[in-house]
Amino acid sequence: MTGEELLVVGKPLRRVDALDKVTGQGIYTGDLKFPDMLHAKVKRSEHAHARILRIETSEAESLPGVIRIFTSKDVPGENNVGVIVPDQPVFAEDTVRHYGDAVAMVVAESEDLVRKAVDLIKVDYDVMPGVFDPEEAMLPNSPLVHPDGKYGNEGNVLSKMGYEKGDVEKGFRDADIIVEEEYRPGYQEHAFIETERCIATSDGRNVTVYGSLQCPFYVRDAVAGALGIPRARIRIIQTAIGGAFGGKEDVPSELCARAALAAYILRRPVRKIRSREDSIVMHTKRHPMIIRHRLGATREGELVAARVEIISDQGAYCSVGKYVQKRAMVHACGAYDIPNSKVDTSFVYTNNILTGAFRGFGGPQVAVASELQMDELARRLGMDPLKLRLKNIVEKGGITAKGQNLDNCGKGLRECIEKAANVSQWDEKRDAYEKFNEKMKHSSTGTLNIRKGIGMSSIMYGVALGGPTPDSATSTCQITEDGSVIITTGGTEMGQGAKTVLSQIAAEAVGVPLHYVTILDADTSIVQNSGPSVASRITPVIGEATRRGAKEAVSEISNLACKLLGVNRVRSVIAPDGTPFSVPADAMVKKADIDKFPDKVDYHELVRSCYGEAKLLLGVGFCSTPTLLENGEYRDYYTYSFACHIAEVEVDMDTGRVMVKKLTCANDVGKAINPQTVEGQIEGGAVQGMGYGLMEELVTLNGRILNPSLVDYHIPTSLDAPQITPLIIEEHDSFGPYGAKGIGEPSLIPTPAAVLNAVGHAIGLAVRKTPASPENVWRAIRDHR
Amino acid sequence: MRDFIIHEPDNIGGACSLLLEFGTQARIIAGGTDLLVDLKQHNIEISHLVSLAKIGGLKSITTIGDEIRIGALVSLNEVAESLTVKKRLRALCKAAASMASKQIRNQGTIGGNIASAVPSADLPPALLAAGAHVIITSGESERKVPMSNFFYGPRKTVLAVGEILTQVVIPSIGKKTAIIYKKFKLRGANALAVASVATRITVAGNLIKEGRIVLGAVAPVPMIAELASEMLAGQIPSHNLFFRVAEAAAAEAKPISDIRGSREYRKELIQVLTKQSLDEAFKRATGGGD
Ligand SMILES: Cc1cc2nc3c(=O)[nH]c(=O)nc-3n(C[C@H](O)[C@H](O)[C@H](O)COP(=O)(O)OP(=O)(O)OC[C@H]3O[C@@H](n4cnc5c(N)ncnc54)[C@H](O)[C@@H]3O)c2cc1C
Repeated sequence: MTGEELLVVGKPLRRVDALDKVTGQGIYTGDLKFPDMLHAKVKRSEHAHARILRIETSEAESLPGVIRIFTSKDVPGENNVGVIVPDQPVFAEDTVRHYGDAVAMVVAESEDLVRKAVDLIKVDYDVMPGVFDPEEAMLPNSPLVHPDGKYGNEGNVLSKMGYEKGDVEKGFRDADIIVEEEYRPGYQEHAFIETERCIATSDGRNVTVYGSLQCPFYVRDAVAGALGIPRARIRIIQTAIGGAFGGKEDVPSELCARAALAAYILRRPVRKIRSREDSIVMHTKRHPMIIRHRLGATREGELVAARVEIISDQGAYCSVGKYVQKRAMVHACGAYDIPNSKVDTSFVYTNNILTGAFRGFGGPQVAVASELQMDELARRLGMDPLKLRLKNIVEKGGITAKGQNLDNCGKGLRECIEKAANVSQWDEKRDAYEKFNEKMKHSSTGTLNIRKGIGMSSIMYGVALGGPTPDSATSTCQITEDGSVIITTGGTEMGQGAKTVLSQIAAEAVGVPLHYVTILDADTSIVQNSGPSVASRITPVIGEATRRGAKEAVSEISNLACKLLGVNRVRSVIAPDGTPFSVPADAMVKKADIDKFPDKVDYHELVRSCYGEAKLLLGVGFCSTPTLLENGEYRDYYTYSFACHIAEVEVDMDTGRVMVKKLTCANDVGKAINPQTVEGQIEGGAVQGMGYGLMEELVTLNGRILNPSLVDYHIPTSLDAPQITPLIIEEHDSFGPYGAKGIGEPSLIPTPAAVLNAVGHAIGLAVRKTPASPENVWRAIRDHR
Repeated sequence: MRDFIIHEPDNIGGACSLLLEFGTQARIIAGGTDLLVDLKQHNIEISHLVSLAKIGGLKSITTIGDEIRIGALVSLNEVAESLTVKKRLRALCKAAASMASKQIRNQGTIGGNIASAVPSADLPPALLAAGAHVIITSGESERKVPMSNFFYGPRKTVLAVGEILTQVVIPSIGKKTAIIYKKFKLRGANALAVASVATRITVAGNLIKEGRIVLGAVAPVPMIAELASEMLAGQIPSHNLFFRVAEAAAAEAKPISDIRGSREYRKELIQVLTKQSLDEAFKRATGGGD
């Protein structure tokens, strides 16, 4: 970087898809209609754990308009859609393992018929005892969800992961104070506006699936596996997505495999749209965890040892559980410099709803434990939680609790904490609220029995897919005859603003205004597999591939400009009327004066000349993260982004109701490619995180979800959203495009813990589970009396 | 959703005869915000809907002296924003404003909210506290039913096949009287009551002349807490009294445990809401603002 002014990057430009969305022009899967289209719906399991004795379909089949009923027998390929472990069937074979299992699927001429026919399918079951508590599931005699060892599982324990650094026992021996508590962050439902959906078409040889998909290549692989045909004959096309949050990561695989199977066999388009109830009952949730956290410190508040044990309910299938497990393990001790640490995690099969990807990927849960621990320790030491954190955060040049040398990042955290504390007036409020609460305790006359609190949470977040393998991505850039630019990547726009940010990166690299760039929707037959759209990796990893591809595509144009201007290096200037020009790199010319500046070449002329001279204006960008070190070791994550959120709450002591009044959210994003979309991410993430901390409760009873509707599962509404102040911190990253790191998940991860710490400050005792719903807070207060 | 035929009669008599003709195969539709959910979720299967939309005279709020008459088709937002109602029974406006979301309040009606007879419905407690009655017509004859006799179970009312609720009549509230509605819900919008209380107090001199406490969402029907209400009559108001009345109201409540709250918690809420509403009602009845 030569300190040149950026043309497009770093500007709060309007999202490229904004108009389409607000005017209703965007094409979603539900808007697509095909001639002769059929409809499909599955018959869900009626038990949490049972053997299937017989599936009686004749009555359903006899309904006029019902085309066919599919079961596991009809799957020509492998009856599996699991992405990591082949444990998840397209259709249940002889056993159902949770209520969301599909036993059969009806395909019929109308949605109404489909529903009626599903009700007419009769399944005989031999009901088996189920296991619904992960700790019980670990006991020797508990019912097995899968046969022992079949998927590398030991009993019901799908997987164990852990590490030890230093000497933990000695660390605790040396500690003056030890805080040990148990935390229970719960489930969370994605509650995207648009439920899962797809349409499959086939001529009996090739298969095309349109859908609301976060990771089209996962779907391609699952469909290929289930149909037993090569991936090249399958084309997955992503439509506009009405929200995903991780819930459309591997989830669409089963949905699309079923629809594709029907289309492939029947040679007619088949549409599958999940009802809200099917959606909530069938798709993955955020992993609930039991976290036992032991933290040792000196009298001065220096952390010396941490011991964390995590048990998580994986539900019936692995989904991406092992990846969540790894992230939870690496982040379990928080963003602190702790010389001795030991973490053990067990992810355990049960007959509950399966758990998987959800924005934050284990991060919010472990932050609830580690951040409430910090506040507990601060309380016991009589220290300000802010000071305790500043004393212990891991910074550039330091070693993370897991043992990674932070040689390439780590300045952002202190800045986040200090800025958030400053803007929220932490010191003053902490004091004022304590005085207010003291006064309230002794006043008996007021009608409202309110307490106020302010709490914080600071986190680090490993950007993109973790080691040992580097994270990589590909992107192509094509400059057309009129100078407009086409970008392909496998990354998907799911509402987060990917198209806008990638367009800005490409426009910057080519040197043209934003509207010159078109990002193609992911289509697995056209775009490259750039890895999944997860892990906050689109901007830093796919964005870097895009930047490189664009640079390569424009290289002949730059060469020609250099030749014409007689210089070695050129840069772009966009005139006030929007025309891009090349000028010598060191030319001291401002955009407003470009008209009168002689040493310039019009970009369009350059493009035309390049085409005239038969030059290739196509670039293939590839990048892989600096995960591997020269000494053969690897980084857990190639870089980290940091955040500190501060919450202010009011708690009604009589009803337990918590009102979040303010959230001050400082997030280090490396470089805000588009500050407006970054703020959007921070606000959205913070509200979703607040929902997790306070309101969202999936009520289950023996594996059955009792509130599978958005009337009964409460996500926050705009009336619940507090005043949010997003603060953008930029610790330049040496790998990401223009220094960018990810923001999608770290916008949510700190919020639940910040809110819980504020509640703790207000009521004087910790609520160690989510959600801190009115009834849960009321119970905590009452049990304490 | 099963196919159905919508009838849009332009007079009450026509509506009643359609309802009689199709019997259990027909339902009245007003705003449809309860009914369509039931139809889509297949809780009810019918083939005829009788819309009230084209019938005149059901959409106005009028007064005769201090009595208010609200037509069954008046929307929840119209109730919430009506100056006429605000002046006489502000608690009803507050109850209406606390419901659902703006879109649903534009669509849903007062008649539908009452006729649905959902235990957590927001308008009935305030109406019971106000001593309101409803006018029911069968096309041929009309009858007047006090709100306190209207419900007899969840989704069960005195309405017979062929009958339509046409008006809600709220009598003059009188001087030195205040009614307060308190609702506890789990989020800012689109949330049903976990528990609710409507409290009415009339003061005379230094004493409470009489009071009425109505509980919502804690029994099969909105219920008057009789014992708690009686404890107020003729008493000198005090925190202590209000506290004991609130305890009594909680004791009378008969909540169930469900996904919105346990029985125990709901009783606690009734106590808290009753106490709060008594404090506020007393303050207002004695001339204090709110
Ligand atoms: C998302 C959502 C949130 C909601 N939130 C709340 C809330 O917070 N509080 C609350 O109390 N309710 C709530 N409701 C329920 C509903 O909106 C209200 O009860 C509304 O007032 C119903 O009126 P309607 O005109 O839409 O009734 P409809 O759906 O048209 O009718 C409801 C029932 O009453 C019968 N009916 C209607 N009018 C008459 C009449 N004049 N005579 C005889 N029978 C009649 C119908 O046949 C039907 O059985 C909510 C609903 C939704 C969908």
